[in-house]
Parts: sequence; C-alpha cells; structure tokens
Amino acid sequence: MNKIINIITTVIFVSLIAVISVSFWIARDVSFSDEESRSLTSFPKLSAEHLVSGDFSADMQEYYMDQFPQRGLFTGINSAAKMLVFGENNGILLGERGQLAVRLFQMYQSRRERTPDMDYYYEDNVRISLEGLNAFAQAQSRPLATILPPRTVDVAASAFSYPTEISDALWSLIGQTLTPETGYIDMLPVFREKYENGDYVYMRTDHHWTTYGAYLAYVKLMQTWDMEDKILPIDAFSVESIPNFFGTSYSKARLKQVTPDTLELWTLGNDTEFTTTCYASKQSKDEQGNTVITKEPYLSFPSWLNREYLDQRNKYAAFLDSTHNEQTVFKSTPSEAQRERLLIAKDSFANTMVPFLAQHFDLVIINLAGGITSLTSYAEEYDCDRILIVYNYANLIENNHLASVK
Amino acid sequence: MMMSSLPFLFGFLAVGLLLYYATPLRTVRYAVLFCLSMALCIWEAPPVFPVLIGTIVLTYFLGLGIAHYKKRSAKKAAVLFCLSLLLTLLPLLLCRLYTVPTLSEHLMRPAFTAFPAGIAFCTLRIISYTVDLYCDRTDVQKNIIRYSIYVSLFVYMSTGPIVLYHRFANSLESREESLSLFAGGVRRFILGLSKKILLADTLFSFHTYFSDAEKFTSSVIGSWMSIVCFGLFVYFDLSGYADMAIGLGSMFGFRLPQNLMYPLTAHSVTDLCRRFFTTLHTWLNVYIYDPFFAKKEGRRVWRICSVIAIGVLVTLWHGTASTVLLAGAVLILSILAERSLSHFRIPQIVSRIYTLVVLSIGLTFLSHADAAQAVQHLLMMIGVRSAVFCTPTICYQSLRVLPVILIAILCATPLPKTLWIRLCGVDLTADHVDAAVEQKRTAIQNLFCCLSVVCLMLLLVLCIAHLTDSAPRLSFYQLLQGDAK
Repeated sequence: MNKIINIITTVIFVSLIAVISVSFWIARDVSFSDEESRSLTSFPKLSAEHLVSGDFSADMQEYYMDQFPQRGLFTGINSAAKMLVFGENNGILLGERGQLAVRLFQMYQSRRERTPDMDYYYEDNVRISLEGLNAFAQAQSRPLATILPPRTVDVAASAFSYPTEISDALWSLIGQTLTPETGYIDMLPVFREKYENGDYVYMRTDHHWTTYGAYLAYVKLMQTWDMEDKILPIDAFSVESIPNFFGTSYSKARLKQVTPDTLELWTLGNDTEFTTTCYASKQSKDEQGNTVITKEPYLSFPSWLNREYLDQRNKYAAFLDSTHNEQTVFKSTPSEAQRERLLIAKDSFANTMVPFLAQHFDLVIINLAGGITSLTSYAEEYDCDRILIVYNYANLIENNHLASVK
Repeated sequence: MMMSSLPFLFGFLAVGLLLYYATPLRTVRYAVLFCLSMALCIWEAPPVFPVLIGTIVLTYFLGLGIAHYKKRSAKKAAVLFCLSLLLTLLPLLLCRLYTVPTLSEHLMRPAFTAFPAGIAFCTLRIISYTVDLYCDRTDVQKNIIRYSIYVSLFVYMSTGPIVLYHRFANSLESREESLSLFAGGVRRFILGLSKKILLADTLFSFHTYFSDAEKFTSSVIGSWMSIVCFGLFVYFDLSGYADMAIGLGSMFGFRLPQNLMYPLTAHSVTDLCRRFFTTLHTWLNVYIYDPFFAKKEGRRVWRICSVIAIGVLVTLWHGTASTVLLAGAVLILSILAERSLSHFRIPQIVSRIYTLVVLSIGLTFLSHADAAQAVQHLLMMIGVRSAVFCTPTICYQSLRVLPVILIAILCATPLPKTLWIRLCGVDLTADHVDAAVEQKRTAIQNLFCCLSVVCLMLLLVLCIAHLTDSAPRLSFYQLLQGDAK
C-alpha cells in the first residue's frame, strides 16, 4: 500500500511539474490580457548587464506570472479561494447582488516613498486639494459648481459588511472644508438612499456611476443653478441598453462568476446635431523666439459617443471617446436662443453627464489629470459662462490635481 | 530565485530533476548537483559567485592541508587561518559591520538579499567541516565536487538547515535515491510550500496592513494583530522553507535534519530558543559551547558568560540593526533570569504566558526598522499610546484574518501532525516510510493516506494559483538583511 501511495504522489507531482513546464516553454506568448485590460510581459532581455544587476531574474519572475499556461484558470482558482476565505480579492470587496467595490487605494504622497494600497487617506493631502479648490472659487467670478462623486465603497455601503467609518470621515472632511463659493453639491446621501432602495445608481463591476447616477447629479446641479424649470424629465429620454459590460473592478477582482453590468445610453431627440471635437495643444517658437501655443483639432465625431467602443471590452470609453485633455461638445445646428457655455473640469465621471448637460450648454471639457495650466484662461478663451468641477473621491485621495487649479 | 517562486518550480526544479534522474552514473549525478547549485548562485547573485567559488576552493585545500600535516601546531595554524578568513568574510558579505562600497552596494540590492544569508549558512558549514577535521571527527573530503555540494547544495543554500559535516558525511557519501524517499520528499515539499505561500505570505500581508494602518489610527487591537501576524509569519516562513529544503533534499537522496521543533509550544525562553532554530543551536553547542565553555560549566560566572557569548553571537548573526540587537538583548536577559530563578517551581501556565509575552516583545523589535518606533508600538499594545481600543475598520480586518490566525496557531502545534499520523497510521512526510508499519494499518487508514495525498495535491494547485497572481514575498532572512522593511 505504501508503495502505491508513493507511486501516486510521485506520478502526480512529476507530471504536474513536467506538463506545466513544457507547456510554458512551448506555448506562444500572449501580448495582451483582455480580462485585465493590460499588456503582458514578454521574454526579458538577456544581457550580461541585466544578469549581473539581478534585473533578469526579477523580470523572469514576472514573465512566468504573465505567460503561465492556463493562467486564467489559475488566477480564477486563486481569486475564488480568496473570496471564499476573505470575502475580497486584490482589495476588491464582493457584496450582495454581485456588487464589486474597490476598497484599497494608492494614497497620494508628496514624498517618494511607496506605500501599499490602503483604505485610509492622508488627511493633509486631501485638505490641500480642497483648499486649492476654495482659493480657486474665491477668485472666480463665474458661477461655479463642484460635484465630487463618491466611490462605490461609499455609496454601496449596505451591500458590504465593510464599515463606513472612513467614508464618513472623508465625506464630512469635504463638507466641512469646502466653502459655499465652491458650489459644492453633496451627492453621497442621495446615492446611498437610492442604492438602498435598490436603484441602479452605481455599476456593479466598474468604479463609475451609471447613466442614471449621472442623471441624478445633473438634476442636483440644475437645482443648484436655479434652472429647475429646464430639468429634462427621465421619461423624455429613450434608453439604449448595452449588455455585458465588465468594468475596472471586475478586471482587478478576477472573479469569474459576476453578473455583468448594462451600460445605458440615454438619448433625447437627434444627438447627431452635436459635434465633439478634441484639441491638442502644440508648443512652438515664433520668429522672435517666444513660445506660441497653437491648438489643433485632431479628432471630431458626431454626438458624444464613439460607438466603436461599445463592441469592445471597455464600453465606458464610448462616452467622449475615453480620455482627452481638451474637448468641446457644441451643437452644430444653430438653435434659436443663444446657448450658455459651460466649462467642465473633470475626471472620467463627468463623461456620462455630458448627454444631459449638452442639451442646455455648449460644453468645453478639460481633463484635470492632463496637466492643465489654468482653468480661468480656458474659461476666458472659450468665453464660458459657468464652470463645473467633477472630481471623484478616489482621485481626491490618489492625486493632487485639485490643489493647483487656478 | 526563491524556492517558492514559479521560475524555481517550473524552470529550475523541472530541469534539475530531469538532468539528475536522466544521468545514469552516480559520480556524474554529483556533478549535476554541483552545476545546479552554482547555476542557482549565478542566477540569484552573480557578484557573489566568484566569492563563493574562491572560498570553496581555498577551504578545500586548507582541509587537505589539515588532514595532511601530522604536527598539531601546523594543523592549528591552518584552522586558525581558515577561521579568520571566514570570520572576516562573513560580516563582509553580510555587509553589516563593514561597508565596502562596491561589493556592499551590489549586495544591498533587493534581488541579492537572498544570498548574504546563503553565504552565512555556507560559512557555518565550512567552519563545521574544518573544525571536524581538526578534531578528527571525520575523514578528509578529497572530492572537491562533493565538498562544494556539502557547502552550497541548492536545497539549503539560502535557508538552512545548517548541516554539521560529521553528521552529514555519511549521507553525502552513501546516498540512496528511492521511491519512498522521493515521495516522502514531495509530500514534505508541498507541505512546506503551502506553509510559506498560503500561511506565511498571507499573514505577512496582513501584518503590513496593520502596521501601515497605525499611521492613521492607533488601536490596541491593531497593534496586537500586527505582532501576532508577524510572529506567525516568522514561524511559517522558516518552517516552510525548512520543510521545502528537507523535501527537496529527499528528492535528490539527501537526509537533512529537522530545523524547528514547534517553538510556539515552548514553556520557557530557553526552550523557545532551543526549538526555534534547532540546527543553529546544535552548531553553536558543538563548535562554541563545547570547546570553550563545557569544561568550566561548574563555575557560575562561566555559565552566565556562555549564555551571553552565545546569545550575542546568534544576535549578530541575525543582524546589527538596533532593533535586532534589542530583540537579542531581551531574549538574553530573559534566559539569564530563567537560569537564576530555575530553583523556583513556577506553574506551567504562568511560564508559558511569560514566554509568549517575551516573544511578543522580541517580535515587536524585529518587526520594526527603528527602535523608537518599536517602543512606541509596545506602548500602544498595552494601551498607553493608542487612541482607541479598536476601530470598525481594524475590527473588520481583524475578523477577516482571524480564521487564518486560528488555523496557523493550530498548525504551529504538534496536534495536526499527531492527528494525521493517527488517521493514516504512518507519517507521510517522513523521509522514509517504514515497511514494517504497513502490516498494522487498516483499510480506513489506507483510505486516509490516499485522501491526504489528494489534499496535498490540491494544496499544490492552490499554491501555484496564488503564485500566478502575486509574486512571492521576501523571506524572513531577506527582511532582516535588506532594508525592505
């Protein structure tokens, strides 16, 4: 009997090692992982210098991880096991109704010290960002509104056993620090209430809000600007549903059994009368040697959707063709009344608000993460009447773009 | 390349096993082992390779010299030369006491932190060989390939156990690969791999979480969880690597000694140190205590001196960071206190609790890079400096790790092993399953044997699955050496 057991042990072990090793070396390298939407490591460069510095062995480790045979199966086993034991994987919580939420964030640090992702935030850094915004609001003569969309973990709190302690602290820090001049619109209570009623305000597999969530923010914004009479009712829109959307949280959690989201496209009338144009700024020197910044449109498409993305994995990128530093959404057919111009300084959360706002305003959209120089100069350049800032909690923790808005 | 990494399992080990068992001649198999060990060294730390080869060749000839000279004084001179060479090399390579810019810069790089420890282990093995030769405990090793295998066999290269030459010589000369030895090794290896990857790495990630969380909220529970996770990480890291080394040794026909004897069940700090790194303890006993202190044991002063001397050596061997020194000091003081109080009868429960308290203090020092922070952490643990007892987030995190901690504590006692042996009727991880036991086993026990093999294979798959998702974390020795903390 001992012999049989020994034979079983040896045969399974040796064949497992042999089969995996052989298939690892035989299989062709995969360059891109659709599941995780990132490119995979290829065979490391072999040189004496790399070998001596130890980079080669470190790269080899990554190469093995990325090109491992049946990688999807193994990572699936791993995340399923972790979800079973810890109720989360890679810092992604799994809640009721298959809700996924990022719990750990890379905190912004001015020092060059690397910290692992945490559920905490540096209060000082957040405060500096908020005070930057306060100073900007103080100096601004145009009507200003600020929407700071909360994270899924803040909104969908009831779906998880995860405590709301840190969410609440961050929320009250924002509420207390921002001055009335910033036109801060507090969305968290609204979203929490809606979420608890079972409304689909935040995506299950993505970190963004749904189009309905964006609509709620739009309604609140219009109320703040005393334009309640102009608010478009929900039933005015026709809804096109794009099924099978697996978002960013799904890619990180690597959990197989999750119900996909449905991306909703809300349209009112003929949206092809709008044109989205993306601009690139170029620095050049004129004859006197002064730097001249010239702007050139490099991409232009009707409406605000790039429908090519709807067949791809990252469906959310269809809105405004993903991220561009400077975009305008103007109505091409001249309307009878003069339309106001709205400058939106934003992160990706604002993209789903565009369909609503474009009905009332000509939009100038500036990406806050794109190294902007001065919002006021943009507002002057485009002769904007109002300014809206949309900046998500996660970005507030992870970056400091707000601190330097001018 | 750590033993718990994918390149090791599906590159190095696969090729190693193939080359080794495809080689028919025994003498050639030694050469295969030698090449594998050197390949590992080149892979891991190329700058260390020439140093290692140089040391091996030099000490090999010194060994020949010691055996050759009949005169006692000549022998003594050779041994002293060898020892002084090694003892200067040891701290140099550990880049602790001396700072040689070029070499230490290379060695301080994170990728190389595995090897200074490996070199330190090699040094202890060389000292063992040289002193054994001098004391006529063993015959001279004339085969340089076998000698270098003894010094730098890849299975224990960077982790231990530390083998003593006169006990290992037999295994080195008359190795006998067999199916039962191989299969026992496989089971032991998988067990070790699971200990390292499923328990140690998980616990360490929770330890870093809790210690990072301290920057934001200081809570009593959080500070305790951080230390409990760290302590269990240290145990399962060492125990996992030791099991992997022993298992790999068996696969290639070597029998290696046990390294940890359930230190968490210790009833005193003296006992704890004995159980913690058994082979290092044995080494110190044979090569430091016996020649220098054993004869003078009768005198009280010498007893104290021996504790201090050996304690200081062990501490320095682990590092010269202030926190390591403090941890060492705590342990030495407790051992001295135990010695002086040995004539009192203390209830076992009290002594066990006291041992765990001293252990937590020592671990707190070890887990910090800065002594002041460690002291603050200690204060936090007793609630002096912490703002609250527990916060909801810390509570959430603690409850998540609690099942793992409970399983880990259970696995740190001999209980699961006893139960396993009882169920299966045989110790499946022993390096040699005795044929005589077979008759007594029942059908149910056989069934359990098969079941446990299936479970082990599932554990292996789980470990591989874990490795495809995240790179293996640094080992305890790498943490002590690098500034990875």
